[in-house]
Amino acid sequence: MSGRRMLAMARKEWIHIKRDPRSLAVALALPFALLIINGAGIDFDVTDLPFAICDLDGSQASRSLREHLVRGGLFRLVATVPNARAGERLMRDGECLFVLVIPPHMDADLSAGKRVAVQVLLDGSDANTASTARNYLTGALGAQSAQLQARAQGRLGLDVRPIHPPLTVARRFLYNPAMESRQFVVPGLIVTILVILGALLTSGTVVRERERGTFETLAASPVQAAEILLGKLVPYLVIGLIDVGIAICTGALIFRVYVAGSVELLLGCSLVFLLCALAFGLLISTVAGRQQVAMMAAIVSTLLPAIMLSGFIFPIRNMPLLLRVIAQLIPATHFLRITRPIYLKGVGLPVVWEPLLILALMACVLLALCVKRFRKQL
Amino acid sequence: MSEPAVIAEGLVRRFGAFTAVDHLSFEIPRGRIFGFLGPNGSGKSTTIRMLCGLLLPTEGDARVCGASVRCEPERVRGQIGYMSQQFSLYPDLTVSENLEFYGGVYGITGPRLGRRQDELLDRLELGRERGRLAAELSTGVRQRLALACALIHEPPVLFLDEPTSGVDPGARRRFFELIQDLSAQGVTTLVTTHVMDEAEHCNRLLLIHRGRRVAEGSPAAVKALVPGRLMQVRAEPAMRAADVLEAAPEVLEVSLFGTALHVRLREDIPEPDAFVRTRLLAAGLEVGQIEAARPTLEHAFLALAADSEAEAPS
Repeated sequence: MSGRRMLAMARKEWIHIKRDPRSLAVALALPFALLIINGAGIDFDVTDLPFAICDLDGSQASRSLREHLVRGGLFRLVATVPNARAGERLMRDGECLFVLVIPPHMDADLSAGKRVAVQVLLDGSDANTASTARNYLTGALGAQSAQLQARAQGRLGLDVRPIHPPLTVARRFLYNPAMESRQFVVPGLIVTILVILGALLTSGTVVRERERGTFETLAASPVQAAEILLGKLVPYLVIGLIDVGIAICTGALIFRVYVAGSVELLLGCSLVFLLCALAFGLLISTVAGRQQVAMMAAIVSTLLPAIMLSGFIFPIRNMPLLLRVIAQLIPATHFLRITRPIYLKGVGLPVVWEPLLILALMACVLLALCVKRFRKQL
Repeated sequence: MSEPAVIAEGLVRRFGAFTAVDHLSFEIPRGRIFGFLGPNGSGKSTTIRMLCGLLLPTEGDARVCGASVRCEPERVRGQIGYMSQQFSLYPDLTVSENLEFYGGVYGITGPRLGRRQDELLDRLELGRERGRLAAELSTGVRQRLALACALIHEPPVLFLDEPTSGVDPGARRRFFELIQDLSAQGVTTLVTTHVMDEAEHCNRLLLIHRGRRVAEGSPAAVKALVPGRLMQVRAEPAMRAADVLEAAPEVLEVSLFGTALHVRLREDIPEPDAFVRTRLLAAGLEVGQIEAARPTLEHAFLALAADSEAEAPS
């Protein structure tokens, strides 16, 4: 290993970057653009759910129930329909997400101390939102039902003794008290952005040398595989770190998501992760025959797993065994175990050392694979 | 006398069932220009790539400046300058950036790099192009820059794989003058070519065909190897004349040379002019001037390649 030769390589790569301002602009604008688009787009919070009501009772109790739902801000009444079928038609047209059917004689039945079932028709074609709506609705109706019963019985002069459930749950979400999804989407997006960048930045570099014919001349020189590869990595590591900085700033300034922990630690961990991502790009570059192929392969093989399997969107715990195993092999999974805790919980190295160590090992393995493959071609 | 700069001993390279280089042995004394002459696909590049340590010989070995290409290719790489057939420059780097990069790759930095760069820019007349991007240079200038890059670390041995392809004749001649200067300073050069007038610049030639040695020697010696007597014949129509002469057993070879025919006859024909004229007149053709011609390297190559083909069952 000669530092001089590595430096010559790094300097040359830096000139390539400088002379290609368009690619550089893309590399620097990408974190900003991706964060804006996805940060605004990926929102798991459900509010303002449109619903229709079919009130077959028309009593004070049913009106009170409707008032209660509308006042909370979670639900928005879009129509009052004469029957369930009319409500279903609205749902099919996408006008509402659920239809609440209040049975006739609800008020009277409640007053008589009977159990009353209200019907809810939910749009199962949007299962995620529907199940969230169901949960909200159950909560809202549960709170209301005891009150309704008490009021109905009170009017009839019966013994007023509100029935309280013996056990209640007092919920408080730590680290993200308002349960805002952007709080955990932004640190997740930083992972995704670095994955894309890592793969894009380096995947072309070795193929390009081969396409241009310069590879042959390099191969006939004393420069070694590790020197070429490390020399190529260094400038992109710098760009990658700048990108992390841009992403952190964008998150703070635009989404008001702040790093609770140490920014330095986050940058340090990002460096290790970048090494993984860039090394993977290089590995693809040593395998692929052409630049375009390399780039496509890099995006497909990193982006999809990073989004689908890393735990960014879908919890790993719920995946079938095979996917859980694959998830553990993806660097993004482990980096996510670092960014979210640092961002939200403000934890330090004593907590994130384990995924960090895994990332470092992965980086070493990937680089070793690159050197091995590369040496064979030299 | 010191050891030759390059010694190849029974180099063989096979790609599957195809034998690209078939038992080549040769020596290049220090400071000489050694020409590798052969058509495309004859194994020239494969041999050079083996000598550079880029390709492992299937059999045999070679020593470059005392280092074995089989056992210590890293030592070989520090000693050689290599101009591959492919474009070896970075188009988005300037002339001096290209030079600096290759300097760095060979571990040359600081004042030595600056000095070396100035020397080469001056010598290869690249001084004015210093700040220009390699992509903007003409082919001839690029070729000189590629040579400069290959020379940045002052290698004692230079391997040039078809260095002048695509370059105009004037630039080609200047390029070879540079090689001759280097040779005068003790640099050993191996150059491949299929252009015959380039081969004339070499001290020694090795003609190869289908990976095998066909002939070796100085350009004059190689030309002298051409068997038979060469005549330049003008006749109308030329194509018919060629057919008629080719049918005669005394004729070794007929080739078109401009508007004339080059006819190689067996040595033992007493009056070759009369022989040719009689034949052609008998066939009812119009015959013009007939004179003796000096064999060029092109004739040598064609004749010797044909011989080697006849000898070796494929």
